[in-house]
Amino acid sequence: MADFVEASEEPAGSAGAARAGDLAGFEALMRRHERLVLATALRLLGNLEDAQDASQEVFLKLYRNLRKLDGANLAAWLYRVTVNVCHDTGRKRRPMEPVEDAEAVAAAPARDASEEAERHRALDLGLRRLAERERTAVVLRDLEGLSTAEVARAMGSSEATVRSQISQSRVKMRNFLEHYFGRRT
Amino acid sequence: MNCGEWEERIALHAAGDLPGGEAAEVERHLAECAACRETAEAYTRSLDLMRAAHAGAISPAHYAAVRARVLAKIEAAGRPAWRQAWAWGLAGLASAAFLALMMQQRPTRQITPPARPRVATPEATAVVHVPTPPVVEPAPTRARRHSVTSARRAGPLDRREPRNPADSGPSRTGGPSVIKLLTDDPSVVIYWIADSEGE
Repeated sequence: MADFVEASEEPAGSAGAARAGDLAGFEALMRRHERLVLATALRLLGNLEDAQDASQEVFLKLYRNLRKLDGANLAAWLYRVTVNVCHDTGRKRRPMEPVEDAEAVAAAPARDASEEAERHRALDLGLRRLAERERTAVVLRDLEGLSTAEVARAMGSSEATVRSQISQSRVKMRNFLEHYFGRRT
Repeated sequence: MNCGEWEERIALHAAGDLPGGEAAEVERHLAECAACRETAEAYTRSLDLMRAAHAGAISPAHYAAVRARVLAKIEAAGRPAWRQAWAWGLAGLASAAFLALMMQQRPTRQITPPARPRVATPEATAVVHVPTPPVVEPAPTRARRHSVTSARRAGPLDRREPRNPADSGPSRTGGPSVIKLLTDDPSVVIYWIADSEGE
């Protein structure tokens, strides 16, 4: 939540300069929001290459729509566009690794991996097991820290639907992570 | 008590996603049920682990790569039209100069005229339809009779042109001559009919 609130308080300097056509101002704006966009895209798409392509598209859309956007709602706009771009990308590209394969990989964790690498791998495999809408809901709510209402706006859905998707996703993720770490969590 | 029906509400309660009344209800249940308290703690650990894995997963170089790609695209799209036109014009001039250089260095080929002699009539641009004159065969002499007979025997495919046009029948007998003029255009053929005086 902290990220979202922080990103919502857009400083007038960089956004204003970017709107005036200043590339340095736009670069500053990108730096401020790049973690939001790329990290969300990475969790929604499951690989860095696609996430970078999606981020590029999101920022180009931002540049084209900069004059129309209200700085106070910029982060919300970026989440919504990132979700839409990632969903479009996900439909065009090959499907994510099937659940059965992800479970087979999880059954034999990498021996030499560090604890941090193991956590990344577990998160990635767990998210792959979720349906697209469930994954989006849990990424925005549990990883990015948006409120249920903000998630609903970003997904173009109702709060009740989002709450249902979040609860089901948490049950699945908890079961998978306990299975993955052998109840070490 | 069947604790299975509490699972999803406990999952929502773990991150404060339940409205006030439902949250209080879950807390009352957790106070009474040790198994569900353990379940709630498992959800908290699961969420902590996911957030820890999500944080700091991307190196700064990956952000920089995206930024560079976006700025390059914007700069390419925003280049003034006259600069783009200047670049295209320069490329066109370079291509033309290269082609001219290649043409100069290429050896010129001499076009040799065809071996068959032709009567060139460059002035003749219109086709004049002239009725074909009646072919009048002169009374054959002995030698002529022989040649006509052999020509008839040989058939149309074996018929040969006379070697010398002056030896042809009509001219020898003083009748009208038909001169066939071939032009460079194979579809244009001119027939010239001349009487014995050459008119």
